[in-house]
Amino acid sequence: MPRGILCGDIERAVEAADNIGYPVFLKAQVPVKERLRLGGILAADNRDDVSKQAARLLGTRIANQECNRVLVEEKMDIHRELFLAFTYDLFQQKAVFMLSTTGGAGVEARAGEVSTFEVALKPEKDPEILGLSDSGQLSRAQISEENFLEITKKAGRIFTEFHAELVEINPLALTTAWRPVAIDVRVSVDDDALFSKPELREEVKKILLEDRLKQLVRKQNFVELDGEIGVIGNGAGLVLATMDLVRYFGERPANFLDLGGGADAKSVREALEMLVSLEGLRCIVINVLGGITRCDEIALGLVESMRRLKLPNLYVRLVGTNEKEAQRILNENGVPFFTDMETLVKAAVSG
Amino acid sequence: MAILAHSETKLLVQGITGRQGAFHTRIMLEYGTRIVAGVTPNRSGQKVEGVPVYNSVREARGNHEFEASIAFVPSQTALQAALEAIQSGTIRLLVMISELVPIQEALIIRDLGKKNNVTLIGPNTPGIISPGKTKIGIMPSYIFKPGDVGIVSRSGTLMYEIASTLSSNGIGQSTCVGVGGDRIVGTKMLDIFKKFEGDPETGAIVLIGEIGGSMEEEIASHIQSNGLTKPVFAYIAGRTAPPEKRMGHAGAIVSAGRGNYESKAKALTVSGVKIAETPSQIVSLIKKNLSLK
Repeated sequence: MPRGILCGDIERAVEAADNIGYPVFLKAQVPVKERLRLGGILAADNRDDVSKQAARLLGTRIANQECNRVLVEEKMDIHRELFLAFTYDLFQQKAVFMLSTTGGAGVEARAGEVSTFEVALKPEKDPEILGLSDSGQLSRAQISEENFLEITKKAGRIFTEFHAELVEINPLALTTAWRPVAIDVRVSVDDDALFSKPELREEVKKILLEDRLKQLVRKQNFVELDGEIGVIGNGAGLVLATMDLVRYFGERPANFLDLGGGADAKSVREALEMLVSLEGLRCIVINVLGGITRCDEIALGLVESMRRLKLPNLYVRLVGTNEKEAQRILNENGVPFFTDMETLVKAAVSG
Repeated sequence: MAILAHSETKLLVQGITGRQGAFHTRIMLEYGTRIVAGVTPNRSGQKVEGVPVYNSVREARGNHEFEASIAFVPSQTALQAALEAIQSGTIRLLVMISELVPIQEALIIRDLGKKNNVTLIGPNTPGIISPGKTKIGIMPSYIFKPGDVGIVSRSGTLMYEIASTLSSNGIGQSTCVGVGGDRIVGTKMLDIFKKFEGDPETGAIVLIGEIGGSMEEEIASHIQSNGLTKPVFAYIAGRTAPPEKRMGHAGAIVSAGRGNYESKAKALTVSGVKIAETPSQIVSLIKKNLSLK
């Protein structure tokens, strides 16, 4: 990799640049795609340049992410750029390795130039790229097979050890001295692995922002949208179908919220707390269909929340254990209770 | 004979002493499922609802015969549990209830299952039910009634919703299978679809799909190559979901313009599948298209 020093302020950036030697790049350390295009990567030929460019990046926002640090990095003499990545192809349902011998910015747009190989994953083993050596890609890339295999081995290891959904080196540059240098590396970690693997979480915590991690570890799924009808349900498919019904009857959903399995009073309270922060909410549709879900508990959770929070009108459908008791509780509190999903949504939309 | 499992299928429960495992073991036994043994490490000798518990699949195998397993293990240990089941050599069907299994592990489990001739259902699935015959899963039994409609679904609770609507309209089900909501699934919708095509007890097929991936398009392709052998009806959830936002199921994401509602609806319609615009419309479509319902 090119020599680089992380800096949190202008003074240190200048020091780093002097140390590394000019020219340098200043790269904003923000988890954002297409940094170059967004002005997150700037070149500097001397000390004044470095001060100027560092001031332009530090403390500003790039794609709504605050830039608190810059990487001051040696600018290499690039002869050619490659692109390589390990990722999952969800349509093929396979792990794949992608390679382009004409890499660099915008490679996604030139999809025709990317070769894809299947990757075999085995427990406790390095991933294996199938068919790569026979493909003639390496000679076309003019990179020594040895160097290349070393790089792919390292990237492959990151892919499996960090449970990455994506490990991308773009560009992998060949300098005029034919040295392979990873100019930019992007790693995206599987959220489910962060939840399921404590050791991985510990490793990632050292790099990632704390509050983003907290968000991931919570089981509830909440996505903000721009409509007026709040939607809460149990099970992603059911929630999506409820949202689709809102649209079908002429309105727009304000959000997606899946309570997940084992919904109870607490999960309902937390869900309503999240919804209440949305602007312009006209009403909330609650659609819970479950076998073991205790409907009376959910009803109690709803009624409690009505007292504690300023909620818009609620339209509720609860199917499961103790539905009759739930119905009684909601009736007593003036909350419309429905047994059928379509009648529920229609009433909410016209209410 | 129902697809995948029938009333004589002998079942092992992995993670049997956990809260979920123990609870659903009782419910499945009440339904008539033939649970013969259970596994929880370090709990050998215990009994759950009268079912003997062993430390490992191998130990259970030394004392009982079984050809299927259902795993109620947390995602942290899902890979180990699955490997144990697959390496047993006798388990032919593995249902993984576990949610949040890392994609890498789901893929490893799936590939190993394929290599060893083990049908994997899930992960993140409510399982399988052949009403009146057997239940290898956690779905609420009262919703499902025996009949001849086969259901294959990516969503659990949406499957309950549609099955419930069918049942209350006198339309029963032959077998209902949840393939799971994750990005990588052990068995695709197409594989279940083909089994329904070959099942004499299934007269019509209902697909409950979702945005993301291309499983619905694969079924459409298959029908176009092989012809429509039975009436097929579909409901696809997520029409309203904006692209690039993961909505719950890891699998339900429209990415780079692919896997969207329009692509699925168009492909299926062209192949002769009737698409319902709302879940309950499945009932009217079935009634309209089948003289005897």
